[in-house]
Amino acid sequence: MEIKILYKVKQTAKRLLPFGLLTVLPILSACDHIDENDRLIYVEPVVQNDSTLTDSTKTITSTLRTVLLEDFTGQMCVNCPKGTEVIKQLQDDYAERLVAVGIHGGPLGFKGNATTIGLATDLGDKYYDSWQLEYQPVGLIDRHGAVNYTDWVTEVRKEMAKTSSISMELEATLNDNQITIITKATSLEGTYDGQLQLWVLEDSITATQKRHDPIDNDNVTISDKNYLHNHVLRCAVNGSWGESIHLNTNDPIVKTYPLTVDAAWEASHLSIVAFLYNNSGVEQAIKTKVKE
Amino acid sequence: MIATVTAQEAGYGFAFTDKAGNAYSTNTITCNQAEDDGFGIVVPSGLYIKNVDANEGTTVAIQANIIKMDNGKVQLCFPVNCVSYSNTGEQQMTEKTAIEKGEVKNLQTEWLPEAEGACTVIYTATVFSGITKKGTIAITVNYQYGTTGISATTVNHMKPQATFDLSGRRLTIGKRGLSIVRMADGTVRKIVK
Repeated sequence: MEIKILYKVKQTAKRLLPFGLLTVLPILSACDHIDENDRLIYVEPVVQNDSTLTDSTKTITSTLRTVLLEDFTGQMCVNCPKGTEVIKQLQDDYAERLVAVGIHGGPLGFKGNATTIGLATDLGDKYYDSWQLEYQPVGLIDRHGAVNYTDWVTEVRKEMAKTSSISMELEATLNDNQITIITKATSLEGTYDGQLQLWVLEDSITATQKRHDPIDNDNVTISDKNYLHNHVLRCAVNGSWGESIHLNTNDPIVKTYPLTVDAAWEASHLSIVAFLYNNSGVEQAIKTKVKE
Repeated sequence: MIATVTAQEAGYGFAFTDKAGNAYSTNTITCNQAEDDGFGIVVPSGLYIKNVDANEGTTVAIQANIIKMDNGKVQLCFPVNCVSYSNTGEQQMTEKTAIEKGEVKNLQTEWLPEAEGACTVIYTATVFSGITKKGTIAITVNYQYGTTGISATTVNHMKPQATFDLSGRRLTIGKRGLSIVRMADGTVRKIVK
């Protein structure tokens, strides 16, 4: 009986709090049968990709931030696998809270020859040049400037501590060599002006990589023909810098994109990344596997 | 005033060495052993730096000054990042790094020629005690590829030179199925792909 009463009190308080009826609190706090640990403390709601965004009883103004790490890498860059090791560590710790993208390009990127598959693209070169990067591996974490891979863990943690006012959803379905991508962006509080960018990534590509053997031994360098490359940027879906987007509070924008699978890609290894950014950096990111 | 000593002297506790940690006996070395690493022709320097007897708290940074480069680019991966230089002149100094006493660290620097020619780079190691520069040591590397003819390109003996089918007809290298492959060292192998 006491449990039922406690449950009802909590539910009532949850409904009433967002509507500003805080005058009820003194009454509730007067209930001496509520344990000290169960007393209501107002905590700002934090949800991620919450399907209950339309629930009118909740006022959600922020959500967890998914961090975008753009890893500028290259097959000829012997130290770049060290950056990949850091990404693996971050993915083990944060799973889907981190979206890592391997951008092959720059002077140590390789576009291929008669015997060796190249993963670098003109798009990768364009990003490397536009961000005026000078060495590899180097990362952009939510596009707040170049970060050496030795500092990625610290900087990703800092960025993850921030919330975001944007919620995103993403779906990608493969049908007859055609991917249909649907993305939804919602501003939970205030307006947002920025760019919506969508990219195609591919995992599990076997291609030669210069690296140390083992990776932490700087004095032995090999060309590893069996190196497995993950989260490799293949192309931009909606232009190199995405497209302009304006969001009003709780007024979602849904966009749909068709995309033909390139003959060089393995469809079952593809993912789609979507993110929103402006001059203040990346506000929110999301990644989904392409469903067959 | 920062003094500069030749590489053969263990200046300020550091020396340029080979992989085994033997300091070079001159302050100029020639590198002409080209190899194909799968990405193209590379002329490695085989240049290492050793902490001979520098005290704890001492760090070192490397700076490349490209005096001449007929073509291609110079790559340097020290201590944690890789940079590629496609122009002559003095390049930006790398980050500082500490090296344990007795440890040898690869500069991972090489010339990536696009054609026959030569490239000359002066590598300077600046030794720091805290934030104070103690001094520098320098070594000149003369990279050569091709026409200078000091040494022919090192052939990767495991690289396929020609592929044939079972009837002896020449095939495209890398073709799938059972094929006879003649390696660069003249040996012949049966390969199924």
